Parts: sequence; C-alpha cells; structure tokens
Amino acid sequence: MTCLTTKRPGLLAKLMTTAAAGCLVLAGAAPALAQSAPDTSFRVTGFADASFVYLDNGITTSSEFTSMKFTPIFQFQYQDLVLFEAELEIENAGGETEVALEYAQADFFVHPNAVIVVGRFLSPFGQFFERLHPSWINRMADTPAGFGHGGLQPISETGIQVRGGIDLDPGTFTYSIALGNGPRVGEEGDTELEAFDGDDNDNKAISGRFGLLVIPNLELGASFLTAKVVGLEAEAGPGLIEPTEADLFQWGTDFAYTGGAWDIRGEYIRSNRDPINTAVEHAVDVEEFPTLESTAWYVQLAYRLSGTPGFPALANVEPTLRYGEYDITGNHELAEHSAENRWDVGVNYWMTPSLVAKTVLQRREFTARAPDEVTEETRLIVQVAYGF
Amino acid sequence: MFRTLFITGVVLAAGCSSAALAQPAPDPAAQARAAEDALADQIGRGAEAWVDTCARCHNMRSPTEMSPEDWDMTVNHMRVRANIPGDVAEDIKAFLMMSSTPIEETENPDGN
Repeated sequence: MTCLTTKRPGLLAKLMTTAAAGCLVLAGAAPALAQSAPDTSFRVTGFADASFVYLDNGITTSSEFTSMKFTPIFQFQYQDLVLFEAELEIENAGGETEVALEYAQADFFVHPNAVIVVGRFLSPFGQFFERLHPSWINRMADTPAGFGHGGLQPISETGIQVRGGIDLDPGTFTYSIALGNGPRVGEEGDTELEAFDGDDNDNKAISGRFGLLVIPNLELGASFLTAKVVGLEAEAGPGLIEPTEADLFQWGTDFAYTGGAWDIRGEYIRSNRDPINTAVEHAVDVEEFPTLESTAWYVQLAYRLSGTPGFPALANVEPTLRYGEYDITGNHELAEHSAENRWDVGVNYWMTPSLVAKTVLQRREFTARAPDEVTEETRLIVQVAYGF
Repeated sequence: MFRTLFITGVVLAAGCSSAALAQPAPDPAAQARAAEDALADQIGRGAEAWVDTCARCHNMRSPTEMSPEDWDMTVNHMRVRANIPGDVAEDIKAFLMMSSTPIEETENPDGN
C-alpha cells in the first residue's frame, strides 16, 4: 500500500497547493463553496487500535494480544455557532467491557479569537494528552512516563474554558484558560488529575496554557494549574487525625518542531502539593504526608523517510525515539510504583495517513524500588492504529 | 412640527438621490470577477494554512477523504483543539470544502 499524502510538505508543496487552489477556482469549482454546510450536521469520527505486548522483567515473561480499543467521537453541529462533541473509550478489560467518557463538551464559537467550552473537556495543560493521545496521532505505542491516566499531566476537567488563537502576522499566539471542579486526592496519597462531576471543596481549579508559534513549524508552550485538594477520611470513620486541605501548583513547558520529515517534541511538568493529612486505601486512620514534589518530562523524535532518494519503499517508514523520566519525592509507595526512566525505540509503517503499524521496544528502569524487587522491564509492543 | 419633518424629509431625499446619482450602476461581471478573486485568495490562504496547521500534530488526510459537510465540522473541531484563529479556520475550511468536491461535479452539477 502506498501513502496517499505526504506528511510534511515543504515550500514546493505549499506553492503547489496554492496554485492548485487558484486552478480550482478557474476551473469553475466556485459553486462548490456556495453549497454551504447544512444548518445541522452529525457525524461519528474517532480512532481504534489493537496491540500485542511481550514483557520481560528479569523474573517472568509474558505475552498477550490486547482486544481492540474503540474510541468513537460523536459530533453534532448547529451552523457555525455551536459544536457538541463527546469521546467514548470502549475496551475489554478483565473479561468485561468497559466504557469511559473522555470528554463531553459544547463549543460556542463566540468570536474569531475566542471559543467558550463548557462541560467535561480535556485539560488544556500541556500538549500530550489534549492533542496527541489518539493512537493514530501518537507516534509511539503508549504514553511517555508520567503522562496519561494516573500520571502527572492533568487529563480532563469539568467546568468552563475560554480558548482561541490570535494571528500576530508573523506568528500566532494561542491561549486556553479553564475554571473547573479541579483534581482530588487519590487513595494512595497521590493526586487524581481527572475530571470530577462534583467538587469536594469550595475552591475552583484554574488551569491553562499559552502557546506561541514563532514560525508555523515551531511551537512553544507554557502551562499552569492551581488548585486546592482535600484529604480523604479513613474507611473506618473519623480517627485521631483530621484530614486537611492543601495547595496544589503545577507548571509545565512544551515545544514542538514539525518541519520537513521531522517531528520533534518535548514536554516538562513540575508539580508541588503542600503537606496534607489524608487516608490511603484500607488505612484505619488518616496519615500525615509531607510535601509531594513530582516531575515528568520526555523528548521525542520521529523522522519520516519519505525524503530518502532512491528508496521509494522506505517512503512510509518512520523511525522513532523517545526518552522520559518520572520522579516523585514525598510519597515512597507512590514513587516505588511509578517513578521510572523510560526509553522507547520504534519504527512506524504508515499504510495511509491515518492507518499505521507501530513496533516499539521499550526499556523501563524503576528508580525507587528496592534491589530485590522488579527494577527493570523490557517490553515489545506491536500496535495497529486507525483514525476514522 | 410638520414643517420640521417636511424639511428633514426633503433633505434626506435629496441626499439619497444625489448619492445614487454619484455612484455608477454596478457591473455584474466585475462584481463576479471580484468575488472569484476573493475566493481564490481565500482558498490559496487556506491551502497554505492547511499545510502549516494540520501537520503540526498529525499526518494530513486527503481532502477527498471527507464530504464538504464533514470538513466543515472537522475544521470547527480542530479550531477548538488546536486554537486556530477563526479567520484562518474559515480559510482552511474554504480550501478543504472546495478540494473535497471533484471538479467534474462542480463543472456540471446537473449531469446534463
């Protein structure tokens, strides 16, 4: 199979598309634009993927095919005024079908430079989850260390958001500011950075991202989140220590360069949660936790071989490389479970612009575990992903 | 009162008629050419913005993969997700909606 379109056209391609646009008009295609979209439209889009994973942690080995994860996105639009959209994640886990709602939001196009978003939406913090989480867009077979569900990057939020872009000519400035219910303390003394329907305190979280496209191919971003989180009561009921409230502040920075055949991007997140009294799962009483400090970062490179002269068979091949670290201090059990350094080396084969087969060799080093525990893990992941 | 209204009416009528006399009758052919030029400019800008904007995160899909209506909704979705300025999104939409329709269809929409 061959790829239908090139990934990153250069100046020549830009000139050609511009010339083609002029030709379309001259050829009499203008009436097509006159067929404006109907007042109401509905469509289903989304993505799906299936994987095979081989794992070797030095003590045991395993291999398994995972069932397909199907992620439809439903969209309903009324004119150019409002777009309603919802993403479901449907997968089979442990013999049962699980359905999760990633987001369900209404987008109101109130101004050329402003869109108001209400409902449950993907967090504007950072770039990975909001923009790259669909498996046909993600260049790797999974998320970087410390990113994704259960990681340091906020996933979603319930509330209201104002966002948009402003053409600076040259360059573009983008902004996203969200006000929402905010994160909660998890049952391991961690912070759950996902959308919650209710608010467990009277404080609203504020988060956002500001981006600057210096040139069209280079984007720089800075993100923040500020909130208060409340400690959990012990399952046994009130004890000697009362749960307390703590401030949470996160900031991050990201970049992406997508010139020619290159796709280079990276992200850094730092989080600080003040000392808190909270109960962990199955604890008989509330415990005192010190300041929780965490950092997560990654750098990722992908290079499409479409520009290799004399080797047309390589045109759809894309070698990839990623390195990332996730560090946690202030909660030993959490660090023991999640802190790691992770290498990923892979090769993608693009059958069409939205159908890809990925092969990734992953090396994980768990940095906070005792020597007698599993401290290293190697995984081979083969994944097929499709965006529809 | 009546006198004031009468004078105002006369002045307004005179102003309107003089303004109408001052402007030559619009030339439909020239207007059509200007509209076509503006559309060509918009589609050209849209083609360039499509290249610059969409490839920032993912491969560009062929314009013929979707119908004009689907592109309309998809570009609105991406305007939110990627913080694309509204006027740039309209340019991209114009390019994709135009490019997704085969030229032969638009040349002879009735099939005659």
